[in-house]
Amino acid sequence: MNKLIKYRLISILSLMLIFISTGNLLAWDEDSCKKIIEKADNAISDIDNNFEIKEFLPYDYYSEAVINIRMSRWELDNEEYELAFFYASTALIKIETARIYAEARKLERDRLIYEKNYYRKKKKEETAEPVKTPTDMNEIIEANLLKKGNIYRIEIIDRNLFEKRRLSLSKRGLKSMEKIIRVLEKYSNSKLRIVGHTSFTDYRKFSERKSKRLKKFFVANNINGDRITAIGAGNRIVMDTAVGFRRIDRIELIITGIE
Amino acid sequence: MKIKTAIFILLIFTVSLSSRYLSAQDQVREVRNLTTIVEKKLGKIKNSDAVNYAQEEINIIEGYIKETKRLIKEEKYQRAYYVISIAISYFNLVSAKSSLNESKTELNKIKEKLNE
Repeated sequence: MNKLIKYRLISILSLMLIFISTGNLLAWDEDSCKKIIEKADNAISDIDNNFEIKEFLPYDYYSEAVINIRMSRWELDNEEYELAFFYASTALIKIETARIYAEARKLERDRLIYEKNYYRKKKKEETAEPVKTPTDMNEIIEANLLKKGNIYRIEIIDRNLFEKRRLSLSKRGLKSMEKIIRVLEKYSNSKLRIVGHTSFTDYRKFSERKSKRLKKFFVANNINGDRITAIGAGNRIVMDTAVGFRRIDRIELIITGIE
Repeated sequence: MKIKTAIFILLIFTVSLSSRYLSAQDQVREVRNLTTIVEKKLGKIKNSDAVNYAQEEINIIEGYIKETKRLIKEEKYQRAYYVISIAISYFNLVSAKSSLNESKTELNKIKEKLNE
């Protein structure tokens, strides 16, 4: 008899718990709206005061979240609780997303620093090995390619490569690309990877379009298309500049297979 | 004259009723389409590595899908639309977590290399 009562009690309690948990989803009233807006506000102020990740914040998500909070307040004033709740909860999710992306970017920066140290260490170890004479490497030096292990790479800022507001190559860009073509022609087994980057917004499609435009140029200049891969990285990868790590509109050319 | 006005009022009444019915049907279709899209996306995520680091989000999205279906049954289409839209925004969170996971593993790799 006692067991039966216990089971009934447990079942009633569990039902109540389920009801409460689903009730959270249904809580579209004024109080819950105010609570969730307050939560979102706190999350934003937390991010604002977190100086470790603030500089890595993706501002597209962040600004959308701020706008959503404003919209939810507006709807709350108009007593549209459903809409207010919707805007506030999406704002909360966007803030969380922005925070996680910022953390990922911070780790990416740390990785770049570690990588730099690693290659410095390796370079010191490799100094004992015979180095190729400048005459052998003439094309590579002319193309300003930097060696990193077995990889040669160069990063070119968009304004030095493309014409203003267009994706056609400028005179300066043509000259530097011709140098790259010479390298690719000399080392016929080498492969080229073109990575497009953007600056303020994580605009992947545009970065991909830039790199594909360059691929077209190389293919038109008798470089086999199978040797070239073109991708767009958006603004997720930072560039190591003289004034620190920055997000810049640029193209990265990575050549492998040069022996 | 009276018959004409009566016909006119009747016409307006029927048009307004049918337009309401049609708009409700549109909303249902839209919400259902969105739920199928979310279910497909969720299925893909479940089959990927995301299960290891975004289990919480997956459970939340599943909860929202159930909630949407329940709201459609109760004919609360507007609310169902909001719920499924909230579920959609969770996918960005999942992709953010995957990029965080990627950068963590990359960082660990380079740290190991440096320690060698």
